[in-house]
Amino acid sequence: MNKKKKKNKKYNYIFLLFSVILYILLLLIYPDKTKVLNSNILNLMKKILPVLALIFIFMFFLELLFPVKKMAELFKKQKTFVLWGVSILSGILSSGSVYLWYPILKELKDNGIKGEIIAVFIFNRAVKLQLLPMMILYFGLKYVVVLTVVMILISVLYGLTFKLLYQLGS
Amino acid sequence: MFLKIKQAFKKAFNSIIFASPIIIGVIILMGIFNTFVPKKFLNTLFHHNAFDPIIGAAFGSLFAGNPINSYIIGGELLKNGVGLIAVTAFLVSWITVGFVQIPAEMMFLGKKFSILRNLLSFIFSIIVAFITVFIMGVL
Repeated sequence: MNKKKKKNKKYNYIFLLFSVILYILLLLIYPDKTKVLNSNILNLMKKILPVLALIFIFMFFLELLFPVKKMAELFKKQKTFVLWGVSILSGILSSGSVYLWYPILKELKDNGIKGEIIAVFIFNRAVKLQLLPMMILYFGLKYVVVLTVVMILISVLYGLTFKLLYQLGS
Repeated sequence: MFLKIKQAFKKAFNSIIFASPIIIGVIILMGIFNTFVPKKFLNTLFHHNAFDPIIGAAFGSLFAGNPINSYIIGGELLKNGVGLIAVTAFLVSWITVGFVQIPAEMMFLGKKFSILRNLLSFIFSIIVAFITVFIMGVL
């Protein structure tokens, strides 16, 4: 595990500890709220845990079928409009925190991949394939489908705007 | 093939384990939020006017982490009467804008790239929100 990931893991546990301390403190100050608070937390957990299992299955198959290295190689080989398509698709399929992708993106940028392609890739990471079941659970199928399609289509306009402004700034 | 399956399983498992303290923490905080924060408080953040999408996008930009958390918070905001445009802007900017990650992004991809990308992502999260909700209304 690299230094950055270790540091983030530490922050994750600090965050959890902070939440638990706050929970205990509030229960000590407002003991009458214990039942309502526990019931609220349990209800949220009941909702989330089955979906987490689904996410795990999605992530497993994504990793099995589209490993990071393969995706990066594919990204490097493509040109022009195909590259835009690959950029959008890779963004959608990519998983993990964005900072994990920075070294690969830097390498691609250094090897001549244009800024707008990388920007479009990052923008499309908002369409999280592996998290769609959870999103549907919270916002409904219709909303998720519309948002996903809008995100993908708008990402082209986003990329072109980025390209224009990036060139203007040069 | 067995090795591939093992690696994929390990990576998926590690990702879930890595995110679990944050997920559990957010569940606890949301439980606390639901129990102790009155609905009126949200109305003070979101004024139910044209600025709501900007406020939503700003909050999404400031927060970072697993998108699951944004769904939980976004879902709760909707339940508390916050508009779908503001919530959508919040969800989109959560992923596309990384206020906390800007220094790291600058380091790898350059200052100009990072500032322009985040600024554009902020604006486009609001545009996406308006278009999405407009189409939802038409369908």
